[in-house]
Formats: sequence, structure tokens, C-alpha cells
Amino acid sequence: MKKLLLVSLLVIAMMLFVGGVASANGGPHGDYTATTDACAGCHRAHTATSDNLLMADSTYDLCVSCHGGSATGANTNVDDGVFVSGRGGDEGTSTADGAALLGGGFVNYGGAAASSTHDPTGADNMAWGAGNERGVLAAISENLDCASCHDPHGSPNYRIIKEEINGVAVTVAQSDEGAGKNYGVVSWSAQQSNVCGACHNPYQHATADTTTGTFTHAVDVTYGGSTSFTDGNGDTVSVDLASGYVVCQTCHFPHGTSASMTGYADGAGPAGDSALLRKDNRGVCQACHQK
Amino acid sequence: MSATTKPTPPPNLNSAEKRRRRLLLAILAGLTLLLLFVTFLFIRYLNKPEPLPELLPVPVEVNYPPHYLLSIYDVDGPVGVATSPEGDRIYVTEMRGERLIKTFDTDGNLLGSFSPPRTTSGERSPVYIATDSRGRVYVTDRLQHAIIVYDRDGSYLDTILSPSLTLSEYVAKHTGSTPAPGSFSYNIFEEDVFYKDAEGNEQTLPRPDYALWAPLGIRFDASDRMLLTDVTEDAHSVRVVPSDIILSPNWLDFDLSAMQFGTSGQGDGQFLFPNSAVDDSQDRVIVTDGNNGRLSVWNGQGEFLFHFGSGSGDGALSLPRGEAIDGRDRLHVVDAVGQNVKVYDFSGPEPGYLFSFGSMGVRNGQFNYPNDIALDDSGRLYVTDRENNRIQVWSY
Amino acid sequence: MKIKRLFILILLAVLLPTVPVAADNGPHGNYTATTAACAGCHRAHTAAGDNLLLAGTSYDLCITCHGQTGSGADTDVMDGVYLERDGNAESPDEGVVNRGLLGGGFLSARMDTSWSGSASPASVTSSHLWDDSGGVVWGSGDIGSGPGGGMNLTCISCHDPHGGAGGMNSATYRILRVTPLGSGDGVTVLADENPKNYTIDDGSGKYFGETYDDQLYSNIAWWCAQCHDRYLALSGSGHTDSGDPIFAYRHISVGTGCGCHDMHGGPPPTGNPAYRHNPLSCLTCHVAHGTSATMSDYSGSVPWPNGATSPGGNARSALLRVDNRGTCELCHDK
Repeated sequence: MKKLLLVSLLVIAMMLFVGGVASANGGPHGDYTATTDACAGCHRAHTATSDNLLMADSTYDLCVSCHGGSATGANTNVDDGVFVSGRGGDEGTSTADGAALLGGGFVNYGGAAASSTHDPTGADNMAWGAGNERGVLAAISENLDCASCHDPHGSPNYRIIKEEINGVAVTVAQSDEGAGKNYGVVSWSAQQSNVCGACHNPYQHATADTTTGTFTHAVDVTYGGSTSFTDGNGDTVSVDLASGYVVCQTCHFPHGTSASMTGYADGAGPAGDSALLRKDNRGVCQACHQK
Repeated sequence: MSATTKPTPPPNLNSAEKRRRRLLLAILAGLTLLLLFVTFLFIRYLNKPEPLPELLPVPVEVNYPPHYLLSIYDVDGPVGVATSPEGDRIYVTEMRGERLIKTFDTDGNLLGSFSPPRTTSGERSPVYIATDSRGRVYVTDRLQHAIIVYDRDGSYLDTILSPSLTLSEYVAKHTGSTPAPGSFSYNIFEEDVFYKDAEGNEQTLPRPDYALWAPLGIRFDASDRMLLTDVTEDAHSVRVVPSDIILSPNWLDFDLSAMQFGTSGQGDGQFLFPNSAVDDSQDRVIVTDGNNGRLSVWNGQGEFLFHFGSGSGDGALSLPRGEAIDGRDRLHVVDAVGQNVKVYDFSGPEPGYLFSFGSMGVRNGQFNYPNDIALDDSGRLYVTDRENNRIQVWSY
Repeated sequence: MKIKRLFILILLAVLLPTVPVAADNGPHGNYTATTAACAGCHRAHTAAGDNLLLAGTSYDLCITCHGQTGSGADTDVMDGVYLERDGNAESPDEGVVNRGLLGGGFLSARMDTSWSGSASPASVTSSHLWDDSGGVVWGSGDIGSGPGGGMNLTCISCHDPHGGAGGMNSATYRILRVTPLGSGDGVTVLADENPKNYTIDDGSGKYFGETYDDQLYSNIAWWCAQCHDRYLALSGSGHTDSGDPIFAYRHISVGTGCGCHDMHGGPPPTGNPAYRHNPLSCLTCHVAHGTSATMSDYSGSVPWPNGATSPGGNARSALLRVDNRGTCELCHDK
């Protein structure tokens, strides 16, 4: 009986151990063997040109050497917010060539110049609400770059989102995307807002929150109504839920948007810009509220 | 002197004429024979370019160095060399490249090459090589820690894994039947012994468990005794193996422990990397004591007699390696660092230095780290010239 | 009583100087005033080679004993293997038969670079030069002095065949010179090791995670850096720009590897502790002679410090102990 218990414990321990291994997230990001080749993709032991022994001048420079506009090495062109098949092996085989990336783009999106983005270049360490007050800029623990939110060494989280951002533990479950990832179709989990909440924590509330003297739209709540609205001109605006939940990403791009703000919307946000919104003006409101 | 006043009788005249004619014919015949002989020698020389036979016997007491004849290339870092009992083949081991054992005819034509079965070049290091009177070829292999035995054409026969175990013996004990020579193989870097069963299918046995040894120098004397040096760590020694073991119809009850002498060290009766052992006509065993830079001489009972050839001056050895002794008890020792072959007279009770030949260099007759020497009955000497990648052929 | 002590002291003082200098090994050192050893390799007036050597190049001389045939030494540096039988039954125990030499090999090596659990002889993919040919000494020279200067390298560039290379003619670890020929200001790595151990710890041929003497481990980086100056990287070098356009940020190559993570408040690497070294040195990741490690796409296309990408592939193995970047992964466990 004791033996059985021991064996069971051993098996469970092994399962847990295996479960703890970072899953492969494609390319050089994760699933490393003892004789991995991947380190040399990004690091130099003695001839590195920047901190963390990186082979590029900055994290952003390194990332866009594969994921940038004119790069080869990855099909996901995050600068232009578009999937370009054939640039980087079998990455994202379920994605249609030319599909817009769900995260938007850092330089362009949908063929137009970005109007607001997260700054991935490591130049800025300020985030709205980081000081627990909505509408106020405050410093986060580090300057923002790609590796602030993504773990280049792989992660069990969706899109190699780091397990700790700004000192906050983050869990964003992977969703089943089939054999090849589809970077153009939503397959978010309900935990998607967690990545944003790590820095912008006062914006992540599922119930009414007035602690800072302001109200904020609920996230991480289910919504059963229509998310697509067609106006009298026949123009349609729609948003995507995450497994039925409204999440930050329902309305905002994490990377950057080219949405334009006019009229009331122009300068309405705290930064006076397009606030990473997915739609022109307040299209994201209309998609659900359909006024 | 006119014919009318003093006529010569025709019979007499005829007789003189006949005599002259006979003389002329004899001279002509002699010249023809000489021409034939010269032609024969010329053709013979063309076929086997070496000096014409000595017309006068060389007095035994006269010793002169041999002269350079030719070089055999097509070898990569040659180290060991041996001739077939008939003297018609030369076997050479290679240190570099594919590390093969190569067979040449006496003109230097490559006849073939062979290596231990189931090994890659990095898994074998053939060093010294010798042939017994049956023509079997024995090769010591430093990486395989064994003596590997082939027939005269290089077909694998058996492996002497340790002083008390052959591969055939191991296979026979595990299968209950005597395996056909060469129907099995073992590579020390693999886990299995391979053999063919009665149906000819390949089967495996677990690797044998035995104490490794380090056979290095190997020679056979005229009576088929094997003289072997062993450089097992801290147990450098020489073994003299009786011919009945060597000539036994099979090696299923193998035991080399008959006579073993010497220990590791620098003192009397000690060796540091003995590279070769031969015996002279007085039944003394002469060992090239490599790293001690000397010859070590023992009697037929395995008792140490004396050292010879160390120190400085003529005949002093730097790094003696391979050696060979001829019918006149002239011992030829290859001095790998001295870059020559030193020859000693072992015919008397006290050995004496005779002469050396060769010097450092890359030209014909010069050596670049020579390692081993073999003699044949026709007075030819074969020396492995390691860094010049050739075997030099010299002749008395 | 005091007189007796004094007597013993005087006796010791008289006897001690007569104790010979420890032999580094074999013909390498321990020479007496009337040694005959010189004549083994040298001729005063009739030498054929440089340094009054009987023969042409030192390399050929070295491999006459230390080469593939093992005719004069048990350390076959060309195959990177110790030729002698199991040291367990021997005294001194200097290594394990057919196991890889600590330095790897110059022609082939017995290394489990693929972490498969066993090692087979394989041709080396990179090695230090040994045949007196010339190459680039990557990182030689001061900050900002380019990729490195040129040098011809042979066995005796690093090893002193006469032994006694240390201070007061003391024996050094592996008869390493205090100052390599052609470069450096002098670093004594370590006194001679006793008993010697020539082979790696791991029976299956893994070269990573090797146990070295701490002092050797600390000093060897300073020793290597006598030629490869700019590879010497102290704690913090991975986060500080050295000012060199090529060797700007450098992985620590001497000091406490895991300690620097503690110092910066970050978590230590989470890899197998058995593979972590404290202190850390060049020898953590590299072998001294040659490796059979293989390199795939990323590792095989890393540019050389002068920017060249050829030769690439396996030729880019940089004396590493494990295939690709196994040396990184085994500590950092990403």
C-alpha cells in the first residue's frame, strides 16, 4: 500500500514537473532541450551589444529583426500589424496571408500610420493608472519594451505573455487554436485582461468601482447581447468577446491602432489620442450598445 | 713464305682454320651469353630496381650501412611495419586518416587495406604489426586494447582481448560451439559482441567482462615465439609467448601468462613504455625501453642482464621504438627522436655500436619521426617514416 | 630536549633542499644537475630544428608520445582519450580507460555533446591550433583594438615541455606556462595536481558540469585572458558596456556566476544545480583542446568577432562542451 502511495506520488510529481515546463510557443521561444540551438538566435556570450547579452542594441531592435516590417524570420509583422506568410517557417499556419494581427501594429495598422501605440522601444516607463488612480500617469517597474509583457523564452500563457509583469503574477490561459496558431481570429480566454491589469490595475474591475472617485466600464464580465452594429449607411462595426467575456482587448489593441478620433472623440482620452481603440471614434461603444 | 717454295699441307692448314673458327665461335657464343646475362640483369633490374648481386661474398666482419632504395607512399602517418614470411608483402599501420592496415608488394604497389571489423577510424589505433610463420598478421590496437589477428589477405580471424581471453573463446563459451574464424566481431566502444549462428544469422552477446591490458610492441622470432610488450598502466612489461600457443589449431583455451618480466620504472629491470622486443641467437631478449631511452637486455629465463645504448655520444638512443634483428645478430633500432636507425652488433657477449643511417629531413634517405623497421631475407629494410608519410626501403 | 629539536630542525634544513622538485610527469621536469634527458630531444651543435631540437617541429615531437599510438604516453591528445586501464586498481589513479580527456581532443573527441547518455568518438568541429599554423586570437588586445591579433600556435605555446614552469621552478598544473609564448604578463594557474586526473568525471561522456579545483577554476580565466584579453569579464559585465564595439556586453567569465544574480536581487538561474559552477570560468563552457560539439541554424550562423560568417555550421562550435547552446540552457534552464 505504501509502495502504491509512493509510486502514485512519484507519478503525480512527474506530471506536475512536466506540466511546469514552458510549452513551445514557436520558433526560438521555448521548449528548449539540453542541447538547444536557440540561445544563439538572440544572445552572444562575449560579443553582445546590449544588456542581457543581446545581439542587438535593444530588446525592440532584436524582436523586430524577426517580427519587424521588412524582417524575415517570423510571419507576424508586429510593426505593420499584419500576418505575412512565408517569412518565417511554419509559424501560424492557420492564419490567412495578409490577415490583420489581433494585437494591432506598432508603426502601422490596416495600411495606415498608427495613431496611438504602446511604446515598445524601452524609452518610457509611465503607465496610466499605475499609481492606482485612473487617468493619472505613474511609473511602472521598468521601461516598457516587448519583453515587458512577452517572455521570449516561452511561457505557458497565451502568446508567451510573461508570468510576471510589473511585479504582478499574470495568468492568461492558452486557448486551443488547433495545429497552427491563427493570429487573425480571436481565440481569447476570459483571463485576457490580466495582462493589462498588471500595470493598469484600476481599469480592471468587474463591478462598480469608485475608489478613485471615478467610474470605469466593467471588464471580465459576460455579455450576451449583440456585438455588431450596422448603421443606416450600411456600415458595420463589431467587437469580439473572449469566451463570452468583455475584456480590455475587446475594445483596445495591445500594440497599436490607426483608429482616428474626430469631434468629441478627438482628445477625449487622458492622453488625447486614440487610446489604442480598435475602432474610429467610439465605434467600440456602438458595437454593443447600438444607440 | 710462298706457297710454292714452302707449301703448307692442306690438312694442317684446314686444322688451323678450323681452330680459329672454333675460337671465333666460342668467343661469339661467350659474347652472346654475356649479352643474354646482361639483358637478364637489366630486365631484372627494371622489374626490381635494387643493386646487382654482389659478385664477391662480403666478409662477415665487414659492416657497412645500407643504402636508400625507394619510398612507398599512399600511407598516412605510418607507424608499424612488417613483412610476410615469404618477404613478398609489406604490411603497414597508419596513425592518421582512416587508420588502416595497408598491404604493399615489394615494389610499393598497394595491394589492399583492412581494419578491425565494425570500427570507425576514431575507434581504432593500429600501432605495431607482425606476422607468424603461417603468414597470419597480428596488429596491436591501442584504442581497442587488443591484438587483432588477420589472415595474410587481411581477412579478420580473431581478437586477443586479454592475456587469457580471445574473442573466439568468449563466443565458444557462450554458444557451446567453436565459431568459424572471423564469424564474430567486437568493438570495445559497443555494448555487444556480434556472431553468426549455425544458420548464418547475426546474433549478439553481451560485451565480455575482462581486465583490460595494453599490448603494444609485437614480434615473432624464427621459431614462432611471440615477443610482446605490454604498457598497462604501472605494469609495463614484456611477455614471451611459446610457439605452441601461437600455432595451436584454435585459441579456445588461451593463456599468455607463460613468461612475463619487468615492471614500470627507471631502474634495472624496469621499463617505461617498452615498444618492442626481439631475441638474438643467444636467446637474449632485447627490449627497446622507449621513454628510458635505452635497450634492456634479458636472458632466456626472463632475468634482467643489462642496459645498453643510453647516455650521449655515438650509438646513444633518444627514443628507441621499433627494432629488428638480422641473421648476423645485427640489431636495428629506430630512434624516433634521433631521426635515424641505429645498428648494434649483438653477436658477442657484449653488444657494440656499429653505425646508424638516416638523418632529419624530407629528402630521400632522410627521416621525419621514423617509428618502426622490418627486415626481409633479401637484405631489404623497411622503415616507417611517420611525418613524411612514407615507408622508406633501404638495402644492404 | 631543546637540543634534540634543534638537531631535528637542522637535519631537516639540510635534507629538504635535496628533495627533488616534483616531477610534472614523465620527461617533463625533475632534472638533476647531471641529467641525460636533454639529449633525448636536443643537440647542442647538430640540431635539425629550432630550439636545438633534434627534429623539425615541436608538434611532431609531442605527438610522438601523446599521439594516437600511445607509444610513449597514456594521454592521447589527438583522440582526446585516456588510453590506460581503469584507474581503480592503479596507484596513482590518473584516469579511466577510454574516457575523454578533460581538454577534449585535437582530431577527435569522446564527448556526449548531444546529451544522449553515451559518447562515441567523433571528429572535432573546432580546436585550438596545434601545428604551429596561424590564426586569429579572438579578443586579444585592449578595448577597441578590433577583433583580435594573429598568432601561430603549437603545443609549447601553452605547455612547457621542461616542466617546472611555475615560480622557483615549481611544477604547474598540466605543465602550463605562466606566460604563454607570445602573449601575456604571467599568471600561475595552479600548482601541479597530485594525484593527477586526466579524464572527465561523467562516465557517459558529458563534459558539462565537470568538477575542477576551485583555485584552478578561478585562475584559469585570467590565464586564458593572457591571449583572449577581452573575454575576461568580471561580475556585472553582462549589464555594463565595456566600451568595445565588438565585445561590449560579456557573459561573466570569472567569479561567482550565480552570485551575481543574488547581487542584483534577481532569482538565481533555475537550472540543475549540478551544472552550475561557483566560481565560474572559461572552463565552465569551453574545453581547452578541441570539441566535437555540433551547431545548428542559430549557433552555426553566429558571426565571428570580425563579422565573418564563414566558416559556419559545426566549425562555429567554439570549443563548447555541449551541442548548440546547451552550455547556456543547462544553467539558465529557459
